[in-house]
Amino acid sequence: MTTPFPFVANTVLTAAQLNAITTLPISAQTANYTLVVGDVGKRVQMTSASNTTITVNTGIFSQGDTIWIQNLGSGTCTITSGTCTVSTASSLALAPYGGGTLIFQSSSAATFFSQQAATYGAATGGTSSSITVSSVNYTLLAFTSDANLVVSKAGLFDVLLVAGGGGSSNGSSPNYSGGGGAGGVIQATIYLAAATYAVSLGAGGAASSPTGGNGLGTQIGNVIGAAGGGRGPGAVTDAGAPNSGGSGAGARGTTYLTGAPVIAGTSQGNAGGNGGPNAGGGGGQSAAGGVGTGVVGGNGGAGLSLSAFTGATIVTSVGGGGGGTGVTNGTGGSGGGGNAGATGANGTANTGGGAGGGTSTGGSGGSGVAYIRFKV
Amino acid sequence: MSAPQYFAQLNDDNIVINVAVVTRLFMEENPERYPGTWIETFVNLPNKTYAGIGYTWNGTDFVAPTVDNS
Repeated sequence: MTTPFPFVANTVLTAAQLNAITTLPISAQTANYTLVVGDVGKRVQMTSASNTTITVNTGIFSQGDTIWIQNLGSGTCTITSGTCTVSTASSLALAPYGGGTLIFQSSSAATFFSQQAATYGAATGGTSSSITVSSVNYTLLAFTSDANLVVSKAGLFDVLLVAGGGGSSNGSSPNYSGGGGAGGVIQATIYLAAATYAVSLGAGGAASSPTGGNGLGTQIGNVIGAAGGGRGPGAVTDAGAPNSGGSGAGARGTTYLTGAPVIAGTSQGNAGGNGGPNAGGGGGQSAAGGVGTGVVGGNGGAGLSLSAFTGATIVTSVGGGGGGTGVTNGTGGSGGGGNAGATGANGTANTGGGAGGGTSTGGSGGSGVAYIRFKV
Repeated sequence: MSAPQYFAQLNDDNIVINVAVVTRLFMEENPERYPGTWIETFVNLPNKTYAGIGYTWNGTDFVAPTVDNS
């Protein structure tokens, strides 16, 4: 029995409908979904085997509006702040059969009251260490080459994946070579069932002419992945065709950025710098590549500090873009980006750094890395 | 952190179709994940070319594909 909702004036409800009012109407969803005003007072039920998001935007709901959210799928369903702020004392990542109540304080702010404690799983694999981040103790698993992740206890895991950086090519005046883009970075909290998962790290793109090679992706089984960094072009004959790069390569006016194939709408990097006429730097995880001016090649975009994920004891950064060549060569971005030079410097291994452009020879991108942590 | 190893996967024409960041030991222990022919490739070894997808293995080294810019 379904009770018409919201109620309409002068409608006569049957006894069965009145009794059924205790059962909230259902807004059934099977893929990424953005809440609408018609969801107020309903149960939004997500049923998907893949990871999904429920996005909350501002200007739609009013103070006191309430929506129940339930995840009935086997994938993790994450409540995502679109333009509306969503606060919680727990986690917005709902494991299978997790749920809670979303209550709006205003049209632009809501609080999620979770009915599940954020339960982390347990696993082995890679190199294990104990870390403390913001007074929370974790076990951190670091993967610097292909390996297996063995989940012994199903639950939530924080993952940070870095793909391989883009390689670079050779080119000197007037066809300076751009820096390789940084490997894409994905950070998410996901639910993993007890099983063994193949962790595959993306190799850096090779140096080549007239364009470097794309970085390759890093992934955990078929669950989640980060895209490789964009290749750095070396000559005007290479227009830098769009590719699957997490960050764009520096080039002559080319800026390419491709979103994640797994988590739709999640950016994995920044664009490469334009050439003008010296080459641009490769895009980094925290910043776009620098623009090549008339006298200097663009610097690689800055990488991403991992201290908030890996803790103060393992301070490192990943995802720096490579520098572009020019009258004065650009430098690589923090996080493993290679400097430009006669021979472009390679991106640092296990950072996903892009290669620096080379006037004579290009460089190779840095390989990727994967970090997985769970609370203990 | 030790330097990672790299292996390139070849097709029947000795063309590189994938590059993995993996130790030889792990490959040997997990053959189902690494079917076919794999050749080790090096990032910083003199006189050795780091392989990229599309490169050719000539029995001694990897050779970058040639591109006609005309």
